[in-house]
Amino acid sequence: MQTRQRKILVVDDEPDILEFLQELLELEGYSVTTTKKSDYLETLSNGEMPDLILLDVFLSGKDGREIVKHLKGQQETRYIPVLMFSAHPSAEETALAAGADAFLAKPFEIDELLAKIAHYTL
Amino acid sequence: MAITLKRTQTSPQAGEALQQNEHFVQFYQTDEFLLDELSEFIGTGLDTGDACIVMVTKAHREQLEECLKARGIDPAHEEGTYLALDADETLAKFMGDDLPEPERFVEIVGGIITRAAQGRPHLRLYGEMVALLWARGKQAAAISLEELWNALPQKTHPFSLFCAYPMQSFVGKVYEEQLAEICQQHTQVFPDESYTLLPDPDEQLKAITLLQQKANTLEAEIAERKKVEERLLHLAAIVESSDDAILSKDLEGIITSWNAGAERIYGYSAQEIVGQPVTRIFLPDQQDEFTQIMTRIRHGERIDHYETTRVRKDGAHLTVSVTVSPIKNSSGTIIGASTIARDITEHKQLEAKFQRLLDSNLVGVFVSDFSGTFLDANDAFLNLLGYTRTELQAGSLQRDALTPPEFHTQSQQALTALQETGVSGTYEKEYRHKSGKRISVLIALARIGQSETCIGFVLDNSERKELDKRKDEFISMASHELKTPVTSLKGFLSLLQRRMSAQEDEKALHYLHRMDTQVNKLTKLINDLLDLSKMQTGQLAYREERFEMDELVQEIMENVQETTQTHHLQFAGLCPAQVLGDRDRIGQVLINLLTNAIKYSPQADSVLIRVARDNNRILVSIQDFGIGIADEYQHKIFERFYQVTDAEEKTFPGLGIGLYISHEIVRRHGGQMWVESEKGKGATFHMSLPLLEEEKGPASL
Repeated sequence: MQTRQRKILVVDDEPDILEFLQELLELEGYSVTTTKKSDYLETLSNGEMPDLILLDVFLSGKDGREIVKHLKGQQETRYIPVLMFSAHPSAEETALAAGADAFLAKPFEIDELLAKIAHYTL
Repeated sequence: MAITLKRTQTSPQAGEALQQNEHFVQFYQTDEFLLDELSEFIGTGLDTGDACIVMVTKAHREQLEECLKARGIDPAHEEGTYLALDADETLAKFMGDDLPEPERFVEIVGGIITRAAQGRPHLRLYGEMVALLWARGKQAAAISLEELWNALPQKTHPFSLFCAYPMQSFVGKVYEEQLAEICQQHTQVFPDESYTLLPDPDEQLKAITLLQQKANTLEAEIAERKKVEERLLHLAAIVESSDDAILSKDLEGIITSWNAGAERIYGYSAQEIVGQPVTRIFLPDQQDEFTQIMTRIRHGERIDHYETTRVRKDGAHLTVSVTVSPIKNSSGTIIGASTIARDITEHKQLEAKFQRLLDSNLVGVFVSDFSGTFLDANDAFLNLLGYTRTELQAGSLQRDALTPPEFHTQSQQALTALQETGVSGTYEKEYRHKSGKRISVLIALARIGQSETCIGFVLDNSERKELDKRKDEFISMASHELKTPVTSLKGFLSLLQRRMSAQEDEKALHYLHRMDTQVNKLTKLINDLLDLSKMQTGQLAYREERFEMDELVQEIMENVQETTQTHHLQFAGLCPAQVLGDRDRIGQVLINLLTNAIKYSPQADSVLIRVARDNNRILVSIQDFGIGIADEYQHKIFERFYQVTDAEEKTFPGLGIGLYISHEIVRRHGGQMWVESEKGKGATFHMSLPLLEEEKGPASL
């Protein structure tokens, strides 16, 4: 049975990470959009909403936790699972408190990441 | 007492039949002596059947009767023979305003004598009325009464009269004549000694009078001298035992006395310096000072506590505090000066050192009272807080106003410690700068003596705080900068693995797997280093959650098992246990212990894990069968950066921080970690943690 292709949005300010995640997730069958722009989400219309967002906690110029707080506060975006990651393991608590559905400390195991994504895009 | 009148001199009449109309006088020093004589006089009279009359004070009457009883005579049974009258009362009956009235004396005293003498061969009489008058300063009346006594026998009945005067009544030159007069009134004066050999009674009397007089004067003088001598000895002892230098000099400045304190302070013995000019202990340029002092002394001035410099015999300079006072002779002329000097060299040096500490302004120093008013402070402290000395002196610097409210409790605690132990210990607090900004300081207080004041030392801590902050930022940045490339590495490795897997290139896959293992090691090292940095600044955060220890051990064991092909990890015991703490951190400890067990037992093939309860604690033990740890290294392996380096052993790679971090994590959970090992026989690492109280609820089946 063919299922609809899941759309994943990846927000990180590290181009290398965006590059391998895009390729990796596409290999896994996801439709991937990557961006360094923290305000990218605000430019999206309703029809373009992703099925899952991978969001870095510390973005240049913006705190990922503020973004997730905003998303979870909006009617049209509150149901989108947000998976946050960070090189600071201590950010886990605040990320979850801000509304993130899951947290991964960088560097993460690819298998673990894929398992989490699969879980939230079922 | 100087004059002891010998009994042999006074008693010839006592045991003998008395001549008629004798009137003798006894000078006495003590009542004891008088009563001895008196009781002999009366006692002998009663024994021989003489009538005896005493006109005495109440005290003497009682004492006399006691003495008589001691001789076997009971005065109460001598009625008619022994008559005791009160001297004062009797005296009052015939005394006029100043002198005794002769007619009344004859009437009253004569009457008594006539009545008492009836049928008696002889009458003995002892009277103290004359002595009473004498003692009351009525010398003329006393002498007049003596004359009346002398005339009485002719008018009444013959009798022997015994008078007594206390010797102290005659001390002093003024009584010389009167004493002579008294003596003239009597037929016998005791003591008589050899003066009785003098043919002329007048000569005799004069000689005796002079003798008495000399004796008295001498006694008084001796007593006075003794007093003075004692006082001098006392003073000399004070002078000798004084720590201060006490010396005297004449008006020319020649030293006339020099105490032990002076010997110690100036180094000269009394023997070598007495007779020398006092300028020997002055500096060469202090001639003016000497002249000024002596001028003021000549004017009778005293110079109090002035500080100056003196020179010791060995040339060392001393700081002394000196008081110089004029010395006068008995006629009031100033003849020299006494000097008391205290060596304050050490005190001065201490003061200078303390002043240096204050003036150096290396640390802020203040003095404040317990209520929190700053009484004094150095510039460093004032600058730190942005206030001026004028504001300090106006009393406008108050601890509570300068301290943000959240530090008030701490100030109170410091104060309590100060009162209890005298010191506060060092603590961190903040002050409010005059501009309003906060300043972080390190502060320590010490109480000044038993006063309600303290001295405080203050170090500006804001720079360290700033450094701490920068260090945190650095760690945070380093964390990001180190981990981001590793994340990318792992990502691209994963992509490569997929590609190789599709191409079925086993060799490449093997290499990639090895790379991934190394990247994971690198990740662990980065994490350990970051943990260490945070631990050092006390910033490693621990979560507090309940978790099942046995489940965690199982989970970690499975994970670690996956990383090794050489060792088999086995349970030697397992029991359920709930623990409160940071599950990830405890997991980190378990990973550390297990990977160490594998790493340090390259020849072995198994590692044993035991989870057991011990009272209210859970004990996790991990046993390997490897190289072991020699006794001397066992206590060191939990130290930071420590790695066993044994010449015979092959070295194992690592930073030497794993066990330190593990130990620290366990310690922060209220647990303990220790090792049991013997070189060559493997090691068992134990970790014990407090067990969580069992939930009190419906028992689960």
